[in-house]
Amino acid sequence: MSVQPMEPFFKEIKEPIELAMTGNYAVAGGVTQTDPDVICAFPITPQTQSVEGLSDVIYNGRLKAAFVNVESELAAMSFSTAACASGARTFTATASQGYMLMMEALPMAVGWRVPLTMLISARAFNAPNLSIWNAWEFTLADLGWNTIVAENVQETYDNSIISVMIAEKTLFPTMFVHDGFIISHAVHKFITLADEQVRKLTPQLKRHVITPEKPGLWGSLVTPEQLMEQRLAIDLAKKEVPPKIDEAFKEFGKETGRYYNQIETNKCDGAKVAIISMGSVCGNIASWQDKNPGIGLIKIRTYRPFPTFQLRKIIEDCGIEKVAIIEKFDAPGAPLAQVGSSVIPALYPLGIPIKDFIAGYGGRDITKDEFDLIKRKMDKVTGIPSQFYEYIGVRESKGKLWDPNPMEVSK
Amino acid sequence: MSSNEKGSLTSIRFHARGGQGGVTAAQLVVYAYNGPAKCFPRFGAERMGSPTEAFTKVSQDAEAIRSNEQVYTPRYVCILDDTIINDVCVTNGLAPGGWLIINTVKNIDTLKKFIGRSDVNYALIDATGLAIEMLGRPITNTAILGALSKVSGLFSIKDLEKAIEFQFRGDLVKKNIDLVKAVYDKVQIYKVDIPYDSKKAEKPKWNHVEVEYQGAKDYEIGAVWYTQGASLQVNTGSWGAYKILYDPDHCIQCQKCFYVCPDMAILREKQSNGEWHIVGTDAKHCKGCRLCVEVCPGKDGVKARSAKLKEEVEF
Repeated sequence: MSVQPMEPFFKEIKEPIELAMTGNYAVAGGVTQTDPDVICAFPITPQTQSVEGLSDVIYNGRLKAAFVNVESELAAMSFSTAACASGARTFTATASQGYMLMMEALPMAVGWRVPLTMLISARAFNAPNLSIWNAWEFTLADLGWNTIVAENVQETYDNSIISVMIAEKTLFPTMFVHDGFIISHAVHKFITLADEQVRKLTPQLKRHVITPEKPGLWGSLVTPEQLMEQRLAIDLAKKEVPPKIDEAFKEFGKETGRYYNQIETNKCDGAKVAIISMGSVCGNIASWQDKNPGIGLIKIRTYRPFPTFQLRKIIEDCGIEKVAIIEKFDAPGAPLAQVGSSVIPALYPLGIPIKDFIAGYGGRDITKDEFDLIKRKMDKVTGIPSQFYEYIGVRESKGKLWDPNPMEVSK
Repeated sequence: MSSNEKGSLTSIRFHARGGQGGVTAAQLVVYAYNGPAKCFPRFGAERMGSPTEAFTKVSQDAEAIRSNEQVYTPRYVCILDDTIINDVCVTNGLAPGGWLIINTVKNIDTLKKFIGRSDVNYALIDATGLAIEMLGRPITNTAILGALSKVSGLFSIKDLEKAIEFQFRGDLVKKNIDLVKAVYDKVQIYKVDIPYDSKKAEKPKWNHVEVEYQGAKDYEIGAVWYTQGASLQVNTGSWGAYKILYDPDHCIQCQKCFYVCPDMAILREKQSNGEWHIVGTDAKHCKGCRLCVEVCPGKDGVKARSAKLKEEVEF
């Protein structure tokens, strides 16, 4: 018989241990340690094993939580939001089409300010053909969820705990993201926390819940006299989130020695060009940087709230003159894809050339070939480019790579 | 034997068929290796019998394996099933002085000639035979690691024992440990006098983009893919263990097999009177599920369809 993948989490973890697990199972382990009361999700590739792993630990008796099966992601999100509003620590997970099917229920968790946590195992949407592979569908909707992104299994495991801290400190639902398959199905070595440490980091805080003792309106009808004030109230509350995220990162670092930041840089000192990206591809870029000095990497960890001013300060302080963005999603008809449309306003006052590269959509690998090409293209960029974004690492026709701006580049 | 100096990275590729445990082999290397390691499968829908790949990267330096890029230039290629050599290019990205570790009963000359590489090292082992003898089933994922341990020195048999103890439970632990030890002793090694040069192991430019496939402007309207017979082009016939034989003398043309076949692999021909008659089996797409054999009523007590285990694949 082979070992059950979740076995290390079947008993109390007394000391931090090194494990080798897939991203999904590592998340299931981290969520187990945060001791949720309700787990309600609908399976979808490539997220499935995270919830499967949780059902194992519940069946094994290690975790006392209600494991609720539902008929769809819309039901999962509705159920999870309500469960969380009633006071339960709640976890759910989804990806791709499931995220879209949830869309209708996603804003309410923000409106009610419930500290729900959700794993997104990032995956492409199905159009024009089905793809189960990686892309950044989670960037699509700005509904007010906190969003943190992981580069590897260690980070996604840590995020499963940190996002509970962030959600409960900020009273905003928090999603944590890892790249589908690239992280969700890869086995990396990582160090766990001891259960006692997690309990210390994620105490049950007192918060607002639905209760007859304090009647209120939870999702009723409001007239035009009310809604705008409520939206402003949410926006104002959202502005208080970033310092609380910093606080969570700091507490987590103190306990584990792993200090995270909303933005992290690699070899940006003295670099004239920086590549901004998120998630697993940052590892690829960092390896490529070893042989390509002079180009910095800026890794965005908290995608929402977007660290606008912090990003601008880093670019200014490092003296970076040109910025390339790599993102795994597009937006046909829009002036820019999603990550680009956050970065460019953040850097707008600097007036520096910025170019957004769409790569790795649908699980295509992003390799040194792409980075080399980006480097050459950025060398040629002198002013504000005529096109803000372009696809790279894609075929134009049989035997020919797409390059819409060959004039900018000498090959 | 292995290059473990700082900053260097060793990668391993496993070729197997769905169900043979190639991914588990890759994971066991991660457990066995003392130091930073990661592994991942070639991401896709794995089906029983289809060719699969899994990769492991190891290094003494965590930064060296920080990249999440796929493996394009493995130093060690482990082949859990030698019939795969027919289906995929197992030497892809393998630089001179690298290793091919093959589960096979064939001799070195036949293999070398068929693979066409004499600048790489070979390690051959009848892992299937040993696995059947010692595990009672033809699962070779642990066995091949006994050979990998010997030729690479990346991890010792002791390390592998720990990994096996972590992965398996019950009597499978001891059986697998005995198996890897037997493989370690019995593996036949054919070395070439060429040092491995990691600089020659360069990924061909843009090979991950498959430049010869159709491009964005080759689609007729938007991105609708007007293509016929996409599945016709896939040699799914190589996945199965059984070959289906057809005997027209005992066929009553009831068409039951035609309707039950999940792969439309029953060949028919239109007769002059307009009727369709069964004439055979499409071996390129028949996965050998034997449903047709099951439903065949036959004639005079003899079925028109029968299944036969495939013989050794000829190179």
